[in-house]
Amino acid sequence: MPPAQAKWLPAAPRRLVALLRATLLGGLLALASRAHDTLAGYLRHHVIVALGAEYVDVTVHLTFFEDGSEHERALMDADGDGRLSRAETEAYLKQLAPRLAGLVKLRAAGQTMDLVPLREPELDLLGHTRTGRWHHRLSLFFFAPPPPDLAPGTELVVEDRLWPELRAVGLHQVEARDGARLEAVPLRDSLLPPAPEGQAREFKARVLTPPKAAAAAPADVERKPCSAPSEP
Amino acid sequence: MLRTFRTMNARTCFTPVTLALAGFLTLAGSGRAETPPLLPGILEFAGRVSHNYWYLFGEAHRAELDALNRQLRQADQQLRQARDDAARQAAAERATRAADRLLELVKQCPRLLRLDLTAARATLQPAGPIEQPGDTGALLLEVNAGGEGLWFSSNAADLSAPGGETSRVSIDLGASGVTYAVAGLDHLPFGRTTLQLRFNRPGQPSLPLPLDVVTPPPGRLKLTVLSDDTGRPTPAMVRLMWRVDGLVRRPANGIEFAPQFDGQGQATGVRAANLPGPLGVHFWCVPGPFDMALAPGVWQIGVRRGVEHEVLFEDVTIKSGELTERTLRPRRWVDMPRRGWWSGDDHVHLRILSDDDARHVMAWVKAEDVHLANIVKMGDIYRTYFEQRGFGPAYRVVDGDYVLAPGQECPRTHDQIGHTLAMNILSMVRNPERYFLYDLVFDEVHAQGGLTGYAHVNSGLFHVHRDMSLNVPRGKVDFVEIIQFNQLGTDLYYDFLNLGCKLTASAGSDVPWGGTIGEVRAYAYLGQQPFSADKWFKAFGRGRTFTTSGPMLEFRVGDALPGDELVMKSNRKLRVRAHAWGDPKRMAPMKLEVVRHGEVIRTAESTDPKNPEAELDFTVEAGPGFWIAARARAGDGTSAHTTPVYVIREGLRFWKFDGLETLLARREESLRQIEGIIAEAKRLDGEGRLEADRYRQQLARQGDALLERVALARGLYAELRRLADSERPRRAALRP
Repeated sequence: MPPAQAKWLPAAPRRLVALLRATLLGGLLALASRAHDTLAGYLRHHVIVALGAEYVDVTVHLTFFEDGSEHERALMDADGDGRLSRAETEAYLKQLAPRLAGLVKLRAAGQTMDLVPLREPELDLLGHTRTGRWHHRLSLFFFAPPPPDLAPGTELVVEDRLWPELRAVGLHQVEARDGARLEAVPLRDSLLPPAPEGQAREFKARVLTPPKAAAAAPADVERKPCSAPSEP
Repeated sequence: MLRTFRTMNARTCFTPVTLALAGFLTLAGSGRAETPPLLPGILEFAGRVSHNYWYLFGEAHRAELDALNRQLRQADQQLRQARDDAARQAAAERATRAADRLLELVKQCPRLLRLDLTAARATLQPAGPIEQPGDTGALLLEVNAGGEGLWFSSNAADLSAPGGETSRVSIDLGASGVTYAVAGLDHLPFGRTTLQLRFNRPGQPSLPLPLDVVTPPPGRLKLTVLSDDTGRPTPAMVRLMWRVDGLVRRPANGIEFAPQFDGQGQATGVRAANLPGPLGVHFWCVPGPFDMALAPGVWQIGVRRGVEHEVLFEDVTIKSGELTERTLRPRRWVDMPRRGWWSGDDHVHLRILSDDDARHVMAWVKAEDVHLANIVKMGDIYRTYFEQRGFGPAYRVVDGDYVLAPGQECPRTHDQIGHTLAMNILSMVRNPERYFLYDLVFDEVHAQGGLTGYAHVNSGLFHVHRDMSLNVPRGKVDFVEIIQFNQLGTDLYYDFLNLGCKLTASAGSDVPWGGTIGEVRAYAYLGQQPFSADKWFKAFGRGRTFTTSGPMLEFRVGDALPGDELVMKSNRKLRVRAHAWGDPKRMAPMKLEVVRHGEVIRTAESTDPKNPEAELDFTVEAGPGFWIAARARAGDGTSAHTTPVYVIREGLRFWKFDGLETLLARREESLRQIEGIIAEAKRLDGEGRLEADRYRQQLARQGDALLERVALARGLYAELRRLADSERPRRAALRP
């Protein structure tokens, strides 16, 4: 269960977060007990690492199979009418996003880096906008500056602590820009059991060729003289 | 939720963002550490304009918008993590610079709409109609509500579900001050649309204002995909992505497979293969050419035709009112049928109850260029799924060199002993009252002339090792899936090969849980024979296969192909040849290994980025015999593996003799686990606690029969131990 990351939220939403967390925890524990039955209880973690001169981008596509999707869709359905409106899915993402942000980290050469959310999470209901037993995909986007002194052979390790109590199917791939070459280190087993407390699932990529340094660092944005809001 | 910040004296010359941040720092210094570090809404605003709505600003600003978004977000994180004032100050300055520049770009944007709510009559400037690029668009607004404050908001409206006779777009504003808002518009009609914008301020009634938007007339795209073999139109996997919004559109004749998926798995017609890079993005299956209206602008067209063809991506510009015709012909980088190898997918779930159903699936296998698809009706202890019209040759769907052959995935137990597969059956074999006695199913399938196997052996899912321990040594199993979801897994496969059990390597996509038919495939070698389903099943049954998610693999020991036996009366050298190669555009480098009893004995690797090809040609001593196979891994993360060649020294088993104790111990553990789950099921059944759990209830009731099979297996393993003892002297004599 994602730990609370919401200390910066105002009081009212924090209570809602607590309620949501309790509901999720209870639901997910129930889910975990059923999840061992079939592939339907799995969560697919598709991790993409893209290495360039200025940034390392990490994208995580989580595909919820039937059990997980049914559970999360019920959470999205705020008005309980069985239909998932855009407003409901956006509200669901807004509640979820802050708690997921710290659950994916990047480790390189023994140093763990916090990843920065690149943009808001995306939800794809895969053509089914009702509650029930479908699939859906939650996509999370992160980035970080590349570690300094990236040498060939360095491993970039994505530490994934998303829904650790659910069994997972792991899939990862790499992309390289700016002259870099990267290879995905194959998972020992694509099926991942629930992660022990505090442990992350790891997706590794090995640097074969570091990216060429950017031609020039991007110029800092200069402070402009005083300007009032535009006149009508 | 938007909040007000106290600002410093406006005569001090700071930008609006600086004023707002200074206010934050003042608040922070006063101990109100819970204040959000940046202006609420600015991060989401920056993310959306940089990723979704960059076109409002023009291509020239796209990279800068991305950079500003990243800078803001990094500064936000640094502010949250700052442990001292200096760090906080540095992060705040960085945020200020990025936010000021973003605000400058917004103010300069020629598409900015302005609204002054303090005016006597609030009107939007310009008044419209506002041009939108196509069926998606966005509005960028500056709304002045008077007073102090600076806000950012992001909204989106789906106009496919209009409220009554109007299309409403909600825009959230700050209670006072200036709000910069971006509102996405999805599913815009062509032509002129009157939107009702509703401006929402806390504590104020919503203000409605009409705004006309206009989209340009669509253009037309006529797309034809040609077969590289015949030059004629062919089904293909097609991707249409509008460069403006980055979203994929369904081609006009894109097949919606959802009704045939029984609501299971990824029950949708848009498919993303479990394959790396550009292969894994979304495609639709189209059965032939199409002609459709599209919004003007640049479109990415993607075309795939399975692993033997190059993937094509091309940008095409669609112009309003004009027809654009494109004919694309994905080129083969390899022609495996010409080399005698024909592809198959042993695990495809789709309902086929009508000619239309059959046509849809046939289009898919042709699009992916998979010659034989095992269309498996699925069963569990309760019921069946993915119904078929019938079984046997009469119910195969044949179109040239493409065949849909009905099979089954049943029995399937998830928490007990694994999932089974069968190919080339004459009727479905399923008996819930004997559900756990898989050998009965295997025997019946064999009696029908079919082939038996296990699913998901690559991952060991569903405890398949348990039933494998019962029935593989008894010779009741023909094949095992060793690659699925682009994951090659050989632990279980090697364990049983090392026990001297022959098993054919197979592969199955498991659509609709898998991405697309043929994302992994098993090639069967027919040589120069013309293709037919029967010949394919025969070759497959002989083990003349390799499995792959990408690389092609050929392997011989002497003249023996995968699946063949070489029986040696005496020791001699055997020539081993292996060849792995792949699509030059994406698979370099290529690593090729030859494994004997699961150990790598030779490796070759190509590093030429233009030539993903590796070969091995060496000799080995036949010695006491072994199994030997080739496997390959391409630089894009795809893999391949052959069925072994079995080198048998006369009088000896080809097993891994020195590892037998460990191998037998693992099988004994599997048997103990079966005994354990039976005992638990019986106990719970005796307590009357399994009324709602048919699996374990039946396990309890069939437990005795299953235990007989456990005893039989144990006896077999004891026999193997005795055999090992009897071989020991002979093997010792053979040692150099």
